[in-house]
Amino acid sequence: MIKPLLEVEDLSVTFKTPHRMVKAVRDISFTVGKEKVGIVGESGSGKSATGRAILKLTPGNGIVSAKRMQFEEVDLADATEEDMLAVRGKRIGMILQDPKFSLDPVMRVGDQIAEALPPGLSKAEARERVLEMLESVRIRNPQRVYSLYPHECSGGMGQRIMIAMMLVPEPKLLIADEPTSALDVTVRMQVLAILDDLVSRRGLGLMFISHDLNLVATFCDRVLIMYAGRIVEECKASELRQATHPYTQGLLASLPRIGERQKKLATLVRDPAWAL
Amino acid sequence: MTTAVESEKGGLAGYLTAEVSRSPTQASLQRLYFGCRRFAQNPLAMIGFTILMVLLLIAIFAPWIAPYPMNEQNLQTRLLPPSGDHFFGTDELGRDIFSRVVYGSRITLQITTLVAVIAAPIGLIMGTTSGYFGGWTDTILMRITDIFLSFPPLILALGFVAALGPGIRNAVIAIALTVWPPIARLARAETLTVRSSDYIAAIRAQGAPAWRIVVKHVMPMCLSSVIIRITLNMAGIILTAAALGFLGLGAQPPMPEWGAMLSTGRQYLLGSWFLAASPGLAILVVSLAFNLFGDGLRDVLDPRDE
Amino acid sequence: MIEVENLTVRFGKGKAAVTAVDGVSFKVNTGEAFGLVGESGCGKTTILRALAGLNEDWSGLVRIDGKQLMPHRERAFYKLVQIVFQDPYGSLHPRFTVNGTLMEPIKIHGLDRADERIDRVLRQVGLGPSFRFRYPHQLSGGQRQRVAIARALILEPKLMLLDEPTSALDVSVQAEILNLLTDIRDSTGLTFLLVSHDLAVVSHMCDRLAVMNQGQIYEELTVEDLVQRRYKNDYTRQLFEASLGYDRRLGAGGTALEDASA
Repeated sequence: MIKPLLEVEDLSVTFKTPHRMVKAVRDISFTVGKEKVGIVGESGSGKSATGRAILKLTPGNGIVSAKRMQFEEVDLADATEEDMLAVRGKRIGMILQDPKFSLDPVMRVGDQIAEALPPGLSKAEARERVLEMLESVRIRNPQRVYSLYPHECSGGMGQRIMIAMMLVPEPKLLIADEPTSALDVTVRMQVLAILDDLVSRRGLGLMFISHDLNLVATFCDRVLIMYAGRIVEECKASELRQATHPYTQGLLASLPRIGERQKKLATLVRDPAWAL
Repeated sequence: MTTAVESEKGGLAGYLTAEVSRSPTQASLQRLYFGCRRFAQNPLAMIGFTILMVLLLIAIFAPWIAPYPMNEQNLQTRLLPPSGDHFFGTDELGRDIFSRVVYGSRITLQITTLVAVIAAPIGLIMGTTSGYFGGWTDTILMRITDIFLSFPPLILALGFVAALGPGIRNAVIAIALTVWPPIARLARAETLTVRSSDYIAAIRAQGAPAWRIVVKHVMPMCLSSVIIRITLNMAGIILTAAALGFLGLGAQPPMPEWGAMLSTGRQYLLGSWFLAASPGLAILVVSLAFNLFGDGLRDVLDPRDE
Repeated sequence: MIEVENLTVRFGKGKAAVTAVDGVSFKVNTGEAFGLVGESGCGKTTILRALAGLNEDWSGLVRIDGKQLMPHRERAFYKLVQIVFQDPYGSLHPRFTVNGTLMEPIKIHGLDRADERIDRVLRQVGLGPSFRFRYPHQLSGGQRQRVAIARALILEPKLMLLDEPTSALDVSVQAEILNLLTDIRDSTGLTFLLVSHDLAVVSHMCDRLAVMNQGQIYEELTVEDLVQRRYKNDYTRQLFEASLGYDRRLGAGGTALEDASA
């Protein structure tokens, strides 16, 4: 039995608002191995909160508790901020939705990637490494792109740069929160292809958080469906159509599909029992 | 219509907290109610509000609160320090300072209200028109605003009062003329943001004429910023009025305007500190109250951390 | 219903001018649902906004319901064409109740029987009278979009322009809104011009579609043709395949990709 990269047991995230406590994530458990795991949910399902909780990036008024969040030999649940600094960005990487908000607008792109390199390299060596990284994300003209500013890059290029930046420290696990939602459909496929290639070549684990069920079902190996803070379905991506939970079935039925000429789409009838 | 909803909680409380509003009035009143509740949860803002209410009451009931008439001179009792008879002491003409401060609250309130009522609409209209129409309208209106803005407020007010002649009425006009330009700038900035939003595009797509869009759709969005700005400006207005009074250009003697009292008190500062202390303290407290109130208003009307 | 010939929209002046829509021509028949598909920046939204009267800087020939459209339009035209925007969180005025939002068009055009019209249109979009005096922040995304649709219906237009009406909504809510739109079309016989980047939505809602890129229409085809893969243009093929989901074979390629920059 290969040990998974990440084992999460009984994770909960609760937010304190002036009026009440909001339970965004409720006692969920799952694992991520050297595979692509998709976490799918609608808004409010708790999927983004889960991704952030693992890296202890939950905003101030959030309380994270877990029995165990075992990442390799570190239990993230008990880790101090100091321990987390050694993990975040270095052993677990994270890509967010919009590269516009993740890249420093006043620094050249190449320099930003170079910042992620370990210290002690000469300028020439650092530049070499960065150009290598840019090539690995299939950027055709790395020299030119090195000296671009973020606003000069398109969305797709920005995301590829983010991926490059994230992979520099050679992490074992990647958490991607809606990495392609802000991209055009054709660009999306290209970026996903890069992620797919890199993940399989380097034997990484990928946690892919998204609201797009169809995308996750075709891209990932395993799928977790979240609703109201709980994981209601867990299955292999290829077996998604045979899903058992009524929420999953409802979601699948309500998606419009090319070729299925039905007059009306099936609408989801929410059963309060799912939120218990 | 049945009152099934209202019967859960009877009467006014039910009306204001009902889940479902049944009329435009109810909807607006509910918003007002919840706004007030939010405001009341802020202790500092409530302190500010209370002080202002006290100021209002003092101004209204001045004749009953003040133990002495404000202008009654008694040269026998000049420059007496604070005592049981004269809470704040007496000034250089034997007048009771406490009574004068109390009556002075009316002047302060008059000035601040009149300035706000004059400056805010001018600023709002100039700013929204300028921001919405853009082009030459914007350029011309903003250059006019710039002219007013380029003078330090006190100098500008001094200039106007010098031209118009001293007195409270002219002081009010002069101060109002220094207060409207920043409001116009603020309203214009808000308008520029609002102008490109979908809800404005939506009403344009329904064929609304420009004036209707500006008055009914753009101005309400600028209103909260303007109200907050004016409230926070009140301290400045009081101080400018006080400065004008200090220089003898605002309220004329024997009016008990706080700034004028401060000015006279200056001459007697070493020997009779109490002449300057009470009007000075009054100015301080009221300015602070407006600031706290304005802060609280901002948190309610323009919430950031929701 | 719509005849567009050589529509051109340019933004900016002189050297910095950007041609957002470049000599586009298409026709939409009365009662039809026509889709404009393309990725961001292709010009589809610009066309919609020009047709809605939100942009007066266009050239070309446009006829709606037989009447020629001039860049500066009279008020009566606004009753003919209405638009529903993409973002339900931005398209309703935050200080107006639902009632206020629906009253505005009634007042602007001087219509009678206001209460009756408002009630009717709210029922049409599946919102009961209890929603009438709520503010937008008290409504969910789906409810807001329903109000936006109600607002578009209240003037009884003949043509409805829809700018990505469901892209900002959750999947389950999207299905409800799409069904609502289908119902409305069935009951009123409205003509729809639907703009979207989502081929699945367009193929569900529309009869015909046009594929746009960089301000031009690359291909016009029926949904049936699309479904049967009878498209002729390579870009259409790319969009079609992307809409099916990720293809594992793309990952293994390893070929360098085009450096599309701004």
